[in-house]
Amino acid sequence: MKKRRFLPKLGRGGKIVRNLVLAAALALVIWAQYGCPLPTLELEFRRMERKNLLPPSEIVLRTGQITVAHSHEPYDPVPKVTQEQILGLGEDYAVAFWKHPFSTSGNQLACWSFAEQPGQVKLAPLVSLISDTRDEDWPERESCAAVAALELPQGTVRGEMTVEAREGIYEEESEVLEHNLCLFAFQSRLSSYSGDWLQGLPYTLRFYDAAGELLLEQTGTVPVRG
Amino acid sequence: MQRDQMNGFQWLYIATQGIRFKPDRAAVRAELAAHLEDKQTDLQRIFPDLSPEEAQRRAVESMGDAWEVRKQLAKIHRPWLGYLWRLSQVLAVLACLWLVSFGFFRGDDAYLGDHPCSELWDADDLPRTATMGDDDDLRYLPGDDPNQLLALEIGQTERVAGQDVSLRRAALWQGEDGLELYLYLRVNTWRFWERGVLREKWMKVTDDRGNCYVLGVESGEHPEDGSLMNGLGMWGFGPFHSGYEVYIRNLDPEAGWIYLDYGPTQPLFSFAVELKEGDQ
Repeated sequence: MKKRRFLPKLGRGGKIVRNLVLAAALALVIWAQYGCPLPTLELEFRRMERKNLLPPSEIVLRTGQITVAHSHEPYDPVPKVTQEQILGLGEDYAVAFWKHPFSTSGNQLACWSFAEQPGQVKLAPLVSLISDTRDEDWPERESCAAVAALELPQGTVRGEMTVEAREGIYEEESEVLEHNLCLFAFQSRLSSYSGDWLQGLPYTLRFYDAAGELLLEQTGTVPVRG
Repeated sequence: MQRDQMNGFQWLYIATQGIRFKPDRAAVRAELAAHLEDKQTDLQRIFPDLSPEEAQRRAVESMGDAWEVRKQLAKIHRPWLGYLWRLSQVLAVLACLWLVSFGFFRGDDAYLGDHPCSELWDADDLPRTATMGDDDDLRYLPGDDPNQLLALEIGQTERVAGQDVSLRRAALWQGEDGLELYLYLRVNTWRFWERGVLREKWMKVTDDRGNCYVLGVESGEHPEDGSLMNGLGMWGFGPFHSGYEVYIRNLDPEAGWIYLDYGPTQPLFSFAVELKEGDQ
């Protein structure tokens, strides 16, 4: 008696299609197992926005390496923050995105509402921890934090930011970057690794034009993550 | 090589040399060898006096010109199809091995997670482990517990950033220290790689009497169990949905409507619930 086949016999083309479909389905499961990582920082950022039900914002800052201008340890190398971050500008808020180096579940999106910031210049601290190794030869970690100042007065070429912390006063300066913003990077004097140490501290911002004239001075407190 | 001096082995070698995909070449060669052998056997049966060498020579002759056959076979057997087949086999096997081995090493939480609230799909339209009362009544299903004042099926849905956010159910209970309101929200998407999340800080809960219910740590602790008075928590999630529960445990007894507004500044979605029986 002729043996009945449970599945029809496939030709080579059929086998190729079957194997590729199987491999693609399994690859999808593997991709999902690893948290569905995406190839670029911007794609991850956009996905994080959609996950948080936010409409796409305008990307105004994509940090490369951030260098702290004033290190409080003069004999040590200047701390450099190499983790890339994205700052997006929404209708009345800013979103800062930080990609975890190993796990997509560790990606962070912080949102800063401008409604809660009464001054002209709006602040958006970049996502919490941006402390990193200084360089390969100097593997110590430093607790650094960066704050972006947005919507600067017309004609600004340089900005200064002073933050009053319990352990002393931090002063940093920044040139105006693309999209009319300044980025101030600070190095903590305490050995705390929290990247949020700047939030809630009183600040003073000063912006100058090309002639060195003071255009605006603004005081307030660094907004707390929303 | 002289064509008339060719033996069977040489003929087979030349005829199949044009097939670049090795497994195909071996298969065709075996088939042709069998064919050649059959011809030789037939010749020896028809002409018993014929020597085996002569029978083979004639069989080879009848098979045709080896170089012409080679050209035809090379044309028919495209190598890329063979390579693609082999590649598809390797990919499928690698994917199977990867999944089995890494899934095994990562344990139970490799696929859906070991969170007690994980589920493939919210089939019952209820948050996971939504129990309440001494006899574990389901919080949102109408029951005979005298403390359950209201159980509503709502089903309001809004589409936000490609995700469907819906307010599924509401339940009002008489707690020991006042009225307790529970609202079950679900975020659905077929794009499992960007399953939506709700943030407690972005949820604003108000009522028609002008009360604003603060969620999270700032809402204070429940006097009995020390848990938060009001909050938003994830209750149930799967590849295509996230379930959230808003709980308000200091509800104004006079409140007739509850408003939910969600967003960092301007609301991304809003729902309104009337706290009475009937269609919402």
